[in-house]
Amino acid sequence: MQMTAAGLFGAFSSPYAVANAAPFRIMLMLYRGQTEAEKGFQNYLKSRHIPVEYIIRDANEDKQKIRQFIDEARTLRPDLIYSFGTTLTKAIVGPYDAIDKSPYINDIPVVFNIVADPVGAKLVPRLSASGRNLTGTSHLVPMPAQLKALINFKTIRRLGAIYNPDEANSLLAIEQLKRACLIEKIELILSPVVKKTTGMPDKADLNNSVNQLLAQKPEMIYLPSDSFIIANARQIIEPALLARTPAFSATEAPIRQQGALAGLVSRYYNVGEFAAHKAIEILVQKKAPSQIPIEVLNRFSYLINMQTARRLGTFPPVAIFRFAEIVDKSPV
Amino acid sequence: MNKLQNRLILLSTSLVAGAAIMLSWFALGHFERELPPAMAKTVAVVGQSTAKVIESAYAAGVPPESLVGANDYLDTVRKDNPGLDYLAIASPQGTTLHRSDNQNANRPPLPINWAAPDQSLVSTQRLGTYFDTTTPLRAEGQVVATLHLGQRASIVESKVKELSYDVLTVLIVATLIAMELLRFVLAVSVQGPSSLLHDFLHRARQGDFRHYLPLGNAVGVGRLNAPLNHWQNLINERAHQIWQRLRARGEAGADDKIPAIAGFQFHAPQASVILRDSAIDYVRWPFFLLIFSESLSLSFFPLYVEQFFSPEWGVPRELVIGLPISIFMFVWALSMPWAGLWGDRVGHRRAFMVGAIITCAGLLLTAATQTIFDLVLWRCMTAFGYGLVFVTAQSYIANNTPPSQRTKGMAIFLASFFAGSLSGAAIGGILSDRIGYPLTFVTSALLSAGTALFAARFLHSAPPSAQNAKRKLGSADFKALLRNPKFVVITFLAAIPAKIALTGFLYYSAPLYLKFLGNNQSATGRAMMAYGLVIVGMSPSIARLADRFGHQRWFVAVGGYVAAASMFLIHFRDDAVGVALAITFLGIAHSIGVSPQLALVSEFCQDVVKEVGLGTATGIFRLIERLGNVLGPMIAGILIAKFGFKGAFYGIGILCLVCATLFSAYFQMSAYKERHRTAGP
Repeated sequence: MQMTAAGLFGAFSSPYAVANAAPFRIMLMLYRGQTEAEKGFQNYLKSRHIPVEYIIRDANEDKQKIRQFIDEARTLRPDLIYSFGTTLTKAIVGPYDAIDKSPYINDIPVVFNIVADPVGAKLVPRLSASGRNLTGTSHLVPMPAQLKALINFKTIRRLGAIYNPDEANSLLAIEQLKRACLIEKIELILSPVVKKTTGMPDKADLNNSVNQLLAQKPEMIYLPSDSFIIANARQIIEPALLARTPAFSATEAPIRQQGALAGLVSRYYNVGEFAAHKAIEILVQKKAPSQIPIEVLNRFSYLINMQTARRLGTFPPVAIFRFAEIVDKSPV
Repeated sequence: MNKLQNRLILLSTSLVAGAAIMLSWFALGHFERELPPAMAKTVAVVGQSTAKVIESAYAAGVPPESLVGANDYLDTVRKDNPGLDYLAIASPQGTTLHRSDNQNANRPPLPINWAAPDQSLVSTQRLGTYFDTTTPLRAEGQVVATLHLGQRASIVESKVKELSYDVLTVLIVATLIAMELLRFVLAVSVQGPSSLLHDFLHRARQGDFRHYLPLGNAVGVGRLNAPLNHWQNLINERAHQIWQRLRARGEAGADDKIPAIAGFQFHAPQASVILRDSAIDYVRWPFFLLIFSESLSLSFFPLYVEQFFSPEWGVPRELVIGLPISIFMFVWALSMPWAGLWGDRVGHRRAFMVGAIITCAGLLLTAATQTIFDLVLWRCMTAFGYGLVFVTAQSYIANNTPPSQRTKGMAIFLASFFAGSLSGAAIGGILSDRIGYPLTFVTSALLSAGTALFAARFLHSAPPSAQNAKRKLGSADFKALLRNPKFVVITFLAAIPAKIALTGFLYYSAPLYLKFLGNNQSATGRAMMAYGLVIVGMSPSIARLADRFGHQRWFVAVGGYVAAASMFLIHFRDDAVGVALAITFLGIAHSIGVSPQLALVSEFCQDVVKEVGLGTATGIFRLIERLGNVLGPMIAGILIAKFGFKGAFYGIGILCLVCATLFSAYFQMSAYKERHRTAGP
């Protein structure tokens, strides 16, 4: 199930004869530093011989900085803006139904990436085309596919899920998970991270939720695509492993770095390549961003952390080795 | 001479057949040895990909004995590869760790312990009723387990069986061809020259020194021709000198001709006569070869036509497929009277050559067919050439056999026809499975061209003889014959149904149905060969029997009933064997019922035959009979379109049954009347 973006977008594999033209200026707006997604984005353009000059701005998880980026973009006037993640993108382009559109960038094409749910986040009214000067890609893997992948690994009857109810993505994902579990006849135990104080939930809140969840003895724990959960995955996975409960993750990082057992994910690198393909459509093929559909990858990676598997003595069925990508690293 | 020749042919043919059988035997043994590795190759990819998955699980830290869901995985692989009967993973010690096999299979259980694996290679060995392909699973250079893939040995065995059928077919055909070829070679090198030599010496003994031996094809005994001619020439020269001397002395007559001297006859200078031999064996081989080449397409012709069918025409598919066969038969039948007349005018050699060349061109163009319309055109052309050759060979044999042996001559002619036809059908089937339809047609065309060369080299045109010149078939003759009820009954109730069964069932439906049942062309050709084999093997003895018994009409009636019965065989056995049996029984039916038909005409229709002449009556009988050839595919096509294959077989069977019943009823009644009349006042 390894995704090869070059193959997928093979229709545009011929190099573009733009080598001698002035390079395109692309402004990369990042939220938490460079990820694999940007690597994929830049390498894809490079492999297609598209001359690009990058202007890179990193908000470092500071929402305040985004305002400055918008002003800077208005002055620098790049040919295209690449924006990472839901939070940042929403701040740059605003919701599609905003009455006052002046605080947002409307006159520079924007390609967003790693947005779990562009419709739910009100970036676009529908995925077929934004109708705005905007398009992008999502790393979302359809929930039924994720749950099937989980069952293929191990047949379970009780699944736990932990999430931050403040994040719209998470709420949406949990809704989908409920539906999928109903179909698969799996009992779902939900454990939202409840804050004791206002503002962001803290680690103590998280510990509480984790303990409550483990007390109900789920057979596996699902980690949705949730910024708070991803950032604090270690704090969930370690106690869970001690209770011999593996974690199944919707995103790559918890499996690669934090010891989650497995997950069906879109690799950030591949999603980045897909975003670059959209950028080429806008810059080289001169397509209107408003007409370009917002898409997810249709092939995903099945990641298995064998270190965790060995630790638990829970080996995946041999058939999964046909396509699985094996991660064999201890938690960082 | 003839006996010696027959013995020689028998001896050489059995030697050829024996050698071929030995060779085939060894080849099959070799095939059986070489097949398992070849079979292993077919599962090698499955083996490798399965091994890779297990090896990557091992690399990820899952040892073979701890594999989760291995049986399910092996089950999936087995279901995806129907050729595999079992899969098993064994430890290096040979203990079965995981397995997937067909629980319902009727066979001994799989071993619990396997032979220790070969450390290095994928290998295949026989394991009871299986071929077991062992793939070692490696990690870091160590064999950590073995993967076993099992293929049912019977798959291999059925392939060997299929191949041995092909080999057997080729053997039969090769024997037939060897016989024909030997007969021809002997005729050219021994029989022909020695009978000429005999003739030459006989004339010399009578004192006739005017004749010379031919020098063209001086092979074998013919090598004596040159020295004999030399002496003959010397004798004539001497005689001429003597005669001149006599004339100078005034003792010879005033005319210029060399008279007989003391009862001896000599020729004038440059007025020699070359003796010619016209053995029927000379035409037999080229005729056989042409029939063989034309019959190569018998087993697949309806399928070839089917490719050009388009449903847009709104005509039933089966009717369209039958049409080219019908039209071929029609042109063939119609061309023959005309071709016979033309052939008598230009001589056998030329007529045969022209016929073979037209056939060759027709076959080449058939190979290059684009649409059904040009296909029909090329088939007409082929039919025309084929008709010309057919009638020329027939007339050559008739012209070169004394009247007393004419029946035997015709028997030889028919034997050649069926031998060529059955050999062609069988070989054509095997050939088309391997090189495809168009190339098989090209092969046919090349063989036809070869036939033309043989005819050019070995046939020579006898001067047209008034005695054998054919009369044009006049409408008065038709009327006279068709007014005779017995002639009509024999033709329409016996001859035509037989031909309808021949073309409608054997040439048209059988190939389509055998293909429909999933057989290849080789199997179809083999099944069709049965008809010719039965005819060649049975019809001479049945003809003798009929001659001895005399009651020809019973033979014809029984033939009709057997033909009808053969069409219903499919009811009891609806598979390739059933069709082959039906074909065999049709062959038996026609062996019994077809050759006495003509005798019946001359026996029962004496008055009208006398009126139009036997030759004309025979010609008209054959012409009308061939109407059945034309009708056969069309009737079968309509029946298949309406009632399916089985319905068509039953339909033809009912037709044969009704005709045979009416036929016997008529003759029974007329015999009764006859008796009544003679017994009455």
